[in-house]
Formats: sequence, structure tokens, C-alpha cells
Amino acid sequence: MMPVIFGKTLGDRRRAVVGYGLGLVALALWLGVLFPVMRESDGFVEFMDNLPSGMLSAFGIDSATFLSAAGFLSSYLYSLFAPLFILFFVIGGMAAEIPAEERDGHMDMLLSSPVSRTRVFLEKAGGVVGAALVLVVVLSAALLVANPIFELSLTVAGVLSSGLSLWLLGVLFGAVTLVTGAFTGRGVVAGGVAGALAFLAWFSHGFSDLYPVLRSIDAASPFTWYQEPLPLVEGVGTGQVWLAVTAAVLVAVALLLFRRRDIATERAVLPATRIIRRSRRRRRRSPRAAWLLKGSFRKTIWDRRRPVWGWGGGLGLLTLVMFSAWPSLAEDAEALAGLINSLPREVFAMFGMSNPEAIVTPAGFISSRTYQAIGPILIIMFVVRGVSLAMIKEETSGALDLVLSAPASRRTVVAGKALGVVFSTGLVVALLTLAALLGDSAWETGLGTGKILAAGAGLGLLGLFFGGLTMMIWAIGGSSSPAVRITAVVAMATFLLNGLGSAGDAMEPVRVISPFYWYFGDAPPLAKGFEPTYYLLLAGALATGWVALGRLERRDIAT
Amino acid sequence: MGRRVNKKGAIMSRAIETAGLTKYYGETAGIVDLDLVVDVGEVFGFIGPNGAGKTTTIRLLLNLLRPSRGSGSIFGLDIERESLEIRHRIGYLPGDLALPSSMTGREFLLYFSRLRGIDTAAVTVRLAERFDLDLDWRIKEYSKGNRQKIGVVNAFMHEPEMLILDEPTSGLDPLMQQEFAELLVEVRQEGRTVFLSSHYLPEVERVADRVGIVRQGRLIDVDTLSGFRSKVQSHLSIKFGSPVDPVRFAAIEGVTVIDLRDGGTLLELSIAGSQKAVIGAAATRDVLTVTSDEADLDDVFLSYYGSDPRLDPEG
Repeated sequence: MMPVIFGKTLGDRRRAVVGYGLGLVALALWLGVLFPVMRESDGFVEFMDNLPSGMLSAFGIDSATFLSAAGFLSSYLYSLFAPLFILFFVIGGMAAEIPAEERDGHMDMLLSSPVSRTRVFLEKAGGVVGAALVLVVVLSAALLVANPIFELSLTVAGVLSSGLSLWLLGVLFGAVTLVTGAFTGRGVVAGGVAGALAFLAWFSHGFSDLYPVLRSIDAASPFTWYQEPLPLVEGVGTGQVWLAVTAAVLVAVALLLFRRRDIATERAVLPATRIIRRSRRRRRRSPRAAWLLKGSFRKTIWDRRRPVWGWGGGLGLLTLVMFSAWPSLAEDAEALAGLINSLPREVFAMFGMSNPEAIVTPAGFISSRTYQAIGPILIIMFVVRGVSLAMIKEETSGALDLVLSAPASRRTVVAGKALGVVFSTGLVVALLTLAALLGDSAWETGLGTGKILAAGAGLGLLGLFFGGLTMMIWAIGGSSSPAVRITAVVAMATFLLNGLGSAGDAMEPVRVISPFYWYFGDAPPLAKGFEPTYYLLLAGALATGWVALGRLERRDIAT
Repeated sequence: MGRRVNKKGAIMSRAIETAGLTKYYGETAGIVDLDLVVDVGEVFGFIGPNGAGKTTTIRLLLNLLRPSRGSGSIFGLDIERESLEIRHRIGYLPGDLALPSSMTGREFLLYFSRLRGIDTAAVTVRLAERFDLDLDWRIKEYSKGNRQKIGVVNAFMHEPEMLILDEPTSGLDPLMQQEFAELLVEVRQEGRTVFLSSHYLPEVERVADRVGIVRQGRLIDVDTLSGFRSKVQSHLSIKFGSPVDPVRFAAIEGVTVIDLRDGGTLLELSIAGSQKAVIGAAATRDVLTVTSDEADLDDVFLSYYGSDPRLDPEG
């Protein structure tokens, strides 16, 4: 029996494999270049011994091994970026292949042909984890090539063990996606639940030194199994066995659920208990926020009402975590400052921190994650996704045809959508700002309301700048143009440009064209007020939006 | 045609048989207590309004949904336990056709033929020519009608013993509908079975041997077309000199008011049984003309769903 579905699933992921693979290889090589620079930096070694391990673990650093290439790569590559890449890839792939295909009707077609559900399930899941394996092999090969060039002294067994462990981690959270997907039949829910659990596992592992309460669940975190002991140093151990066994059990559960499912319904396989029945009945009520369904502006906000809570809530939560971590870090501020000074700036530049010294202040520490690393990524993703769903996807699906057949001018409709995206972005920023204001008063960091508001405004404008870019590319290039992909590339390039510009003199002059520079500058956003450069972000968003609206007036819709 | 050999011999003449087949979605009924028999070699029309349970029935037959209770078989094979074997022998065209947009038509059909493990290239080419379909476009570039043709080719390309078709001609132009009807006639001549779900009645009328009518999740009647015609004996149009009150006619047993037009002067009725009472009632008024037609499926349909007798005299 030919594995036809496996082959198609693998084939469908080929573009993603190339994209993610290039990213991983670039990352591995970049870290390979960095390591020798860091090792030779003066004063680094002596500080490492004096540092409290709790503080370091919050940055993913294990002081015992950090000085070797294996330890360095384990902290930066294998504990943060590589899992991020692999988990995004596997969770997204699983959600798209099974629950999402059920929803859009493809699964009906597939299962009407003479193939068993078990075969469809296993071949599709196998295709995704197979593609993930290709990624892992590419990453491992890149490291093995870099190994002699940068004198990293990695062992082949270590690289292969790390790759295996990384792959198993991906398979495990892929299996979580499958279970949730087979239970709910909804790709978004499946991906969201798996992503949230992955975050929780990562957090409870990485922050267990900082928060004693996490220590009890640390041992049960798949991230602990994945990384302890470090596979790059110690090879494969019991942790990998745990990963494999858990993944196998979850896949078996998911398969059982999937075999019992009513395809393409949102109903779970469980019997209709009273609670489930009640929730079903509730769904039939008239929409509670129906007043929002009036005009394209309000409709866009209506569509984004749940993501606003999800993304804004996530950012708010992250902010509160950062605030809560500050007091224990502040106790060792001097040691931290020593570490920062001993590390080459390139290391920080990679994370968008052009001002590592500031990390010893609350403004710098909290900004480093909330406003300078994760915050911008999330807000840009939120805005670009908003533009994509409200405009690009509506055009390709034909919904825009329907909307524009109503007696309203094209400009009014699209401007309404754009304003809806702006407003929902404002709501996300408002949730974040609220959390920051709460954190500021609860942990007495003394940042001040004005600066918190300004940092939030800048973050929102940064997101809108890239949203405007997406909208402009879409308006000019049509619905089939890769507007989202181009925006992602531009965002990544300008982010690195800002970071590298701060580290090397050669890049310094071109750094000023990076929108990230306009936002970060050389001081943490929380440490400054509303900078004049924020107006550049605003101007960019307005200009791209204006061009988009003008261009859209004249172009053919959905061709 | 003799190409198809009945595996279990002559005793197996049932193509579809269900007993008390029921599906609830939570508390909503999809289909309730369906007892249906479709014989091998017949074209069975399954008609009903939107949301009546047609698609639920089909998805139960394909094992995409699991029955809440009851059972069913196709060619004597259990629809749940032996679904795989069943699916080797049927072709399916879903009502809400979803095709992977980035594949070309040819790639899609190749993929599905590989899933069946057979080479369907020759039939595919023949069908594509017959329906005037260029297979080398991406599916997202096809018009709605051409996408539907891909679905049709996919259902027919392996020359299955039975075809389960859900609204098959939706999106097809009249020429292609004609072509499709001829294809169904050929299929019947070859002794194959067709389960045709539709609310496009002329299509069902053109090809179906028997028709089942489903309403609100229940099968309310099954009969041949001529059987239905005898139940719905006539369609009467009466032109009056002055407006009439339709309620008078609706009150007569067996009479359904279909329409009242021309300012309340043109009354259209569907009459089961004798026309005598109607003619009698009409005679007391100022009758200009009376026209009687043979009943078609529309009348059957309407008589079963019942049109609203409280018609607006102005409408």
C-alpha cells in the first residue's frame, strides 16, 4: 500500500520546511560565529562563578556549562529558538492537517475514498513529524558543518542526541494538538491549547529556580525531559524515553478519539452530559455583542474580539511575570551588571537589546522581554494577522465581493476595516498597559504612569507600521501577493539591522532606517516618554494606509 | 454491461438498507428512524427542503457520522464495521464540495485514484472531454461550475457500483446538466445504482425510478413517480372574473392552495382526490377559465410540505 497521504502531507509542507530550515541554519551559524567572540571576552569567566543560578536560569543560562560551546548552544539554540521553531511548525502542521481539514470539508472527500480513518490519521500525523524530522536533520547537519569551522568541539553523538530530543519534543506537542483536535474538531482550539501547554511547560522548567512553587511540577515538564541532562553533552537519557512514551500514548489516545468522531462536527466524542448540553444550548442565543455588527469598522472589531482577549491577556500576563521577577533579581543587581558587562554586545543585539546595561534597572529588565522582544513579535503578528483576515483572506474567499456589492464606497469599507484593526490593536495595548500599571504599583518599581503609557503607545504604533506595510503590499499586489511573508521578512531584517547596528560600527549609519530603532532607540521604552521618533512610526502607518486605500480604488478585486 | 460481478450472488439485491437509522446533533434531530430500501440498479431520488436531513443521511452512509441508533448496510455490508469495503465500491460527490485549492484538477484526481489504488487515467480523460473540462488549471482558478465538474469526475472515474450524489448539478450550466442526466441514464442502463439527493426537482424527475421525500428529519413517503402522480392527481388553474377568497378552497379536503395571483382572480390549486368539490365551489363564483395539468414533482413536493393557505389576496 503506497503511503499516498503521507507523501502529500510531506509535499504540502515543503515550503514551510525550506523557510523554517533556512531560519534554523542561519540561527545555528550565527550562534557559531558568536561563541568564539564571547569565549574570548575578558572578565566573563570570573563572573560566571559568582552568579546566583536562579537569576541566570530566567535567561536560559546554565552556569555550569555555559562556558563550553555545548552549554552555550544548549542555552540559546536548544532551550529557546529551536523548540520555538519546531513547536510552531509541528503544532501548526497538525492543526492544519486534521482538525482544520475536517472543518473545511476536505476530510469528507478523503474519508469517502476507501482508506481507513487510522490510515488517514497516521499518514497525516506521520507526514508532519516526518517534515519536522527533515528540519531537525538540516539543523544538525548545519551544526556539524559549523563544528570544525568555529572550533565548537561538539560531539557527533551530542548533536544527534539533541536533534532526537528536539524532534521528540515536537512530536509530543504535536500529539497534544492531535488529542485536542480529535476532541474538539477545531484547529484553532487544538493549536491554542497545545501552544499554551508548551508555554507552560517551558515556563515551569525555565523559571523553577526563580519561583520555588514551580519546582514541584518542574519534573513533569516535557522541557525538563527534553533538556536534562543536556543531550548535547550527555547524549540520550531517560528524558528522551519519557518524551517518546508520552508522545506514543497521546497519539494512541488521539487515534482512538478520531476513530470515534463524527467528522466535521464540533461535538466531542463524549456522551452528552448535562454541562455539555447546556453549553450547546447557550450557543444558539443571539450574539451578545450584536451592536458591533454594524459597518465594516465594527465588524472587524467583532471578528477580533476573542483574539484581543487572548493576545492582550497573554501580553499582560507576561508583563506581570516580569514585574514579579524583578524584586528577586534586584537583590543581585550588581552581579547581573557584571555579567552584562562581561558579555559581548552581539549576544544582546541578537535579542534586540542595544542597551544591555539598562537591564539592571526595572525599566530595562521589564522592557527587555515585554517591550523589546516578545511584545513587538506578538503585536506585529496580531496586527498583520488582523489585516490578513479582514482584508486579504476576505478577498480570496469572495467575502469582500459580497461586502463591496453593498451600497458603500470601497474606500469607506476598507478604511473601516483598517480602523477596526487599529482599534483592536489599541485594545490589546490597553490590556498590556493595564497589567503594567498594576505591576508597577504592586511591586513598587516606580516607573510612572506616563512612561508606561508612552511605551504602550510606541508598541502599538510599531505594530501598526507593519500592518500598514502588509496592507499596502496587498493593495498593490493583489490577493495572491505574499504580503504577509514580505512583511515578516522586512520585520526580521530590520529587527536584526537595529541589533547589529548597535553592536558594530559598520552598521551604525544604516540602523536609523529600522523602525525598531525608532521604537527602541538606545534606551528601554519604559525608561523614556513619548519619543519624537514614534511619530515616524505613526507617519509610516498613515502613509502606507493612504497609499493602500488609493491603490485599492483602482484595482480589480479578487483577480 | 456485465462488467460488475455481484460478489454475494443473486440473493443480494439491496443496494442500501437502513433500519431505524437515527442521528441527533445534541438535541437537534438530523435524521430520525430512517427505514430506507434502495434496490441494486435503481436511481433513487432523495428530496427534501434545506436542513431536512439529506446530507446527514449520506454522511451516515459513508461512516463520516456515527448513528445515534439504528443501523444500515450497503450491498449487505454494515455501514460502520465494513465501511472500508463499501467505499471501494461507491463514488461520492459531496453537496458542499471542498477541493484543495493549490492542486491542479489533474493532480487532485491522480491523488484520489492513488488512494483507491487503481489507474483511472483513461476514464478521467474521457469524462473530462465529455464535460469540456481542462484538467491542468489550479483548482482555485476554476469557476464554480468547473470545480463541480472535478467533483463529478472524481465520483465517476473508478466506475463504481453505486454513486452517492448530493446536489450533483449545482453550479452546472443547462448544457452540462443535460450531459450529466445522460450520464446517469447510462449508469442505470449498466445496472449500477444511484442515490441522488437533490432539491432541484426537474433533475430528479428526469432520471429517478423512485423518490423518497424527507422532511424535518423524517422520511415521509417513498414511491415511484407515477405513484406520486396518482396521489397528487391534478394541478388546477382557475381564472375568475372577480377576486375570490382562497380560504374557501383551502378548506376543502385534499386541496392545497399553491398560488393566488392577478389581484386575487387567478387561483392555482393542487388537488388530491376528486376535483368535484372544487369545481362545485368554483361554480358558485364568476369562473372564466379552468386549466388542468398533469402533476409534476413540484406538486408532490408542495403537497407534502403544504403551502400556506392564508395567501395574501393582493400577492
